[in-house]
Amino acid sequence: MMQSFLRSPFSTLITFITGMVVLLGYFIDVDPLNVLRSRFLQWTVLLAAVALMLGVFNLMRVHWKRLKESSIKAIYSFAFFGGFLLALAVGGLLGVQHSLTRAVIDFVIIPIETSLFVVILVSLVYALTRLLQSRLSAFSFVFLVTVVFSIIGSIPLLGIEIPFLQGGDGILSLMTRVLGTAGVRGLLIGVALGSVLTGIRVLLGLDRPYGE
Amino acid sequence: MEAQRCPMCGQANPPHLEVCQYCQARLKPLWVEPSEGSGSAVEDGIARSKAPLEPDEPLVPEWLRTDRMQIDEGASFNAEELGQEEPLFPEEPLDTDDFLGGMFSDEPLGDQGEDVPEWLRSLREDSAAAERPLQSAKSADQDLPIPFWLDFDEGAAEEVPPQSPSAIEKVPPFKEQPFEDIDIDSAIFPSEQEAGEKLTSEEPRAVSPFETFEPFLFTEQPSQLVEDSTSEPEAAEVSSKEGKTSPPAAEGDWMSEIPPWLETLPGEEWMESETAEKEIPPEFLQGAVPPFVETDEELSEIEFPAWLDQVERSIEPELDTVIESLTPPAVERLTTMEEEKGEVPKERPEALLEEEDAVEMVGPLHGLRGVLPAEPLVAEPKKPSKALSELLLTDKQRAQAELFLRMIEEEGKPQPIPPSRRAKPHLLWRVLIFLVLFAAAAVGLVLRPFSSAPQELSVGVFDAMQAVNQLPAEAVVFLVVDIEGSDFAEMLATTNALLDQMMIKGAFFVVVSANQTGALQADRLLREVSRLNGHKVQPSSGWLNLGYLPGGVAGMQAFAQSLPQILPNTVDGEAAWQDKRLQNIRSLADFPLVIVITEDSTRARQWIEQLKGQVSEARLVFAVSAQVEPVLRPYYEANPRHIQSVLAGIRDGAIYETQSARPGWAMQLWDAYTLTALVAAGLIILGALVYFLIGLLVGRKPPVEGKTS
Amino acid sequence: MTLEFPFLDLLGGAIGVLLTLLVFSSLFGDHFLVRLIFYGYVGIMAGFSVVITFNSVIFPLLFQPILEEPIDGMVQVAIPLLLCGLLVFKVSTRFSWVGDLSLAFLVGAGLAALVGGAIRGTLMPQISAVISPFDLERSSLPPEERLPSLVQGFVILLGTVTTLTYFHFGARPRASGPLRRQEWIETLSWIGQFFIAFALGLIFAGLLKAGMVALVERVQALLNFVITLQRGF
Repeated sequence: MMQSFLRSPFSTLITFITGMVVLLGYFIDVDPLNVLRSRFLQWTVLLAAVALMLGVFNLMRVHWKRLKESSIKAIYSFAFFGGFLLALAVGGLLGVQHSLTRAVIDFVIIPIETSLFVVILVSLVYALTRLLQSRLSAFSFVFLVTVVFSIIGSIPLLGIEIPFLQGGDGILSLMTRVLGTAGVRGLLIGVALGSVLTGIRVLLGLDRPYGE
Repeated sequence: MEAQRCPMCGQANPPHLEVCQYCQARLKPLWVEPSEGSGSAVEDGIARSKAPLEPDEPLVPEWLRTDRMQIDEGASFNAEELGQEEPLFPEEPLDTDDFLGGMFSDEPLGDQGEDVPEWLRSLREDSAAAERPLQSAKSADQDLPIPFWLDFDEGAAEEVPPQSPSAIEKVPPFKEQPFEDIDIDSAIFPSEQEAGEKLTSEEPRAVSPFETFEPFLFTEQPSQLVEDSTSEPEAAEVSSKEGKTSPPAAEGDWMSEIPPWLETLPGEEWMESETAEKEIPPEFLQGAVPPFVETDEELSEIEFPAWLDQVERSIEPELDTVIESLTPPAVERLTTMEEEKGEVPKERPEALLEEEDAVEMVGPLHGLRGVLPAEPLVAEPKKPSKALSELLLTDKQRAQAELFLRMIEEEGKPQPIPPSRRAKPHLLWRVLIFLVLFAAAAVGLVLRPFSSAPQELSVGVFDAMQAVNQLPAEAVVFLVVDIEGSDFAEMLATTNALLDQMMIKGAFFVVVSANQTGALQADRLLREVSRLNGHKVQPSSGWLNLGYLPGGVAGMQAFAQSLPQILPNTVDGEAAWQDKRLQNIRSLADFPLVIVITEDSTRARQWIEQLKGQVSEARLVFAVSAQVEPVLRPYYEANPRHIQSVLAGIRDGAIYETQSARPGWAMQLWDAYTLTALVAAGLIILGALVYFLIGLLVGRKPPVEGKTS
Repeated sequence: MTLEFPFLDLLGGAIGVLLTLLVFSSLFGDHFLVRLIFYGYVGIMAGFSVVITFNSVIFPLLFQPILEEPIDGMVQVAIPLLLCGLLVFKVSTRFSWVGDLSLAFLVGAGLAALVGGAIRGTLMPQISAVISPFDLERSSLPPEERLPSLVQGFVILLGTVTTLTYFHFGARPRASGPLRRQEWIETLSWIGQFFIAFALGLIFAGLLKAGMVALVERVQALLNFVITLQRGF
């Protein structure tokens, strides 16, 4: 009884009230509403932080189970806990701005993330070279040409800038300013419309991502 | 002596032969011991038996009548011609009419000349004298081997009580599909033949041989119905034995006693009056259905073996649809497919293999090799089951049933998708791309400077420089640093000159990040800018790191409205807003300049949306990755603008450094970057061209609908 | 990055180079060491997230008020504390439903911010930006620049409309065939694909540019380490 009450009508009501208070604050500047809205948003920030902590806790629980299984994956979980404890010890005890914390960032995090990005770069170039083989269409061709021209247009070709290609009045600038803006603007409006519709559906209780 | 006609091919053979010289079929039955002086009797019987074949005979159907007439015409040959051993008919393939003609012709009977078989003798005697030939036959049986299809238990019919008509209806007849009743066939096959044999004339079979247990080979080839002629004597014999209830037909009138399999032929409406008697079930049902079963509910209570129930349940939903497709050609296809896969030797039981290779020993298929095993199931003598509720299966039947069920299950199982012919990732090409790009970057770093710095002042850089130039000295600047470690190099190159200029002016930075580790990157960014440009800015003196702002867009909105309430402390847990430089700042609107540094296009858009109305557009500058620039362009190109400036990528960073005459990180990487980008563009063009040509030469499969998206 | 001790600096550089090479080796295929590195990396990031989140938000908003002023602080944080307490039940499979209330609150506020921001920050400004080039009376451009601006505005209008049309999936059944959009929508959608391809091509190129800067940075780090080794030994 309590369970179903909390789930369906009460949760929907909470979502609706909270959402309306926050949403109206965008368009109506009234003090009591602003105060309430500010409170709600502050609690939201706090709840989001707690949700992140719970997420990390859940991650730890999964790895703890793996660690107890003592399989080959336990080694990976051991590495996870090693990194986790290292970060807790360095960041929590010494401080985030301590030199050892900075050393961990500089010598561990940055090399790993940057190298991963390089691997992704190679994969992207590889995929791009095979684009016309896997899907030959006018749009693929436009996509490929746009990518190549955009890269070439951002650099001087061995120290020489081609007048009509590069520069403020060049083709690339025109393409970026006009054609690129047109396409992205359509995409942005589409994304915004989708966000609005999805949000309104949830606020009105038509969709309930927070429970049944 | 007359020539003897082969019962199989109908050809005339010399009388001394025991095997047909044309088809190698046995001419003289093994179980009949020839007796002297019976030839005339046989002839008499034949002569009398011709009486029902008159055109006015109402019991014989039209097709049978024409067949007999043909045979009569053929039988009027000269006996002398037979003595010359000339074939009666030209050597042509036999057709159905020939078989039927042979069945009803006199020759086979005349061949037995010296003796009269028991069944014929019984037809000639009255009911009172019917006992004697039976006894003599029994005595003969003790001396001679009896063919298995005659070796049935005579008392079995008496042991099995008659069944209700409903029981018959519960067993679907064997109509069009040979395997339609496979789940119960294994139970009914052994006793089916016996049931057909033991039905008396008073209890005619309700189900004709065509509908019940006739093997589908026979149903497909009606010419082989001649096989049924062998069962007629037996039926007559049984009827003579049970003479109390069924008076035997008069001699010479035995054809008026229509055999059971003729009852259901077209045009036999005269049999409809005996419907009540027809409903008595054949004996094969007596082994499967207990006599007390009257209704469907009772039938459902019968306990079948567990394995059969399990199998039946598993395949029941699919059985109907699958069986409909299992026409004999379909079965042949399945078998062929299995043989092609090489699965047959593994899956088929040995008994079946032996059957397939065995030579058929009886019936019209005598001498043929590899026929379907219909005979053992039909003709094997079995005693009726004592335990009526049990399903009795021989090993052979079980093996066949299992094979069939396996075939059905195989059909129901999804076929494994053959491995895609998609080419494996071209590892070599990937590695080559990496090595070439790596080499280009290394060469660019070693050989620099060789490229010209970008000279053109873009609009975005110009606006950013203007915004920085308008800053008062020691202004408090708000920095949103939403970057990951992967993009740190590019973001450092983009913002180095911008931050350097502000540091020169003594700006104090308040830093926040909307991703978890962005606070760490923010510290590193300011530290690196300070180090690269020779500043001595430290965390507490040069910037204030508020840490992580959770909550996504809600957090941004909350933070834009009331900074101190949302993030009161620094990332190290110290009170943030106690600094006297921040005394006048309560919201984002109080900052003279807000700079959003991010490599995430979604987050950049969200910051624009949430800062709308909170921060003046003239004080909002974005320093972003090159991948974010197209997304911000519509905001920047709008009239009026929604943001003051966009600094995008290493190019704008290099321009800013060049314009401010303070080469920094961007210019350090610029030469190597330009060379790498040039090589990358070349690789893309070259690779795309090569793969395009490969695609044209090899041929391209059309994209599959549904997979292309 | 410079530590207080040159040896540690060198050691850190060596670790960075080693990690870089190991991650690069994943181009040849996944292997044990790369996985080990990634798991350790995730652990470090999770640890830092916990520290930063606790220091930045949880402690100052939830515990600090109570520590500073126990009674007033408790009153102040009562509701958020309750909400956070309910949210903790989400980790339990059995009592997860208790946390629905907090989650509903979180979703409501988050989506409202999303909707409000999208309407006020994107929809209205971008629609206005599409229209504004045709408002010649309010244009601040000199007369000789108005025609190019008008042409430009028309191209942007065409691109925006056709791109949006591409995402229109309404279709009607036809007697002669499957569901299809109307012809004029199909035509506009086809044109819109070119604009989308162009926009995505620009974004993709930006991604490649960022990756190339990352590559150059890594190569420079490797070269610097080699140079340091040469100088040191």
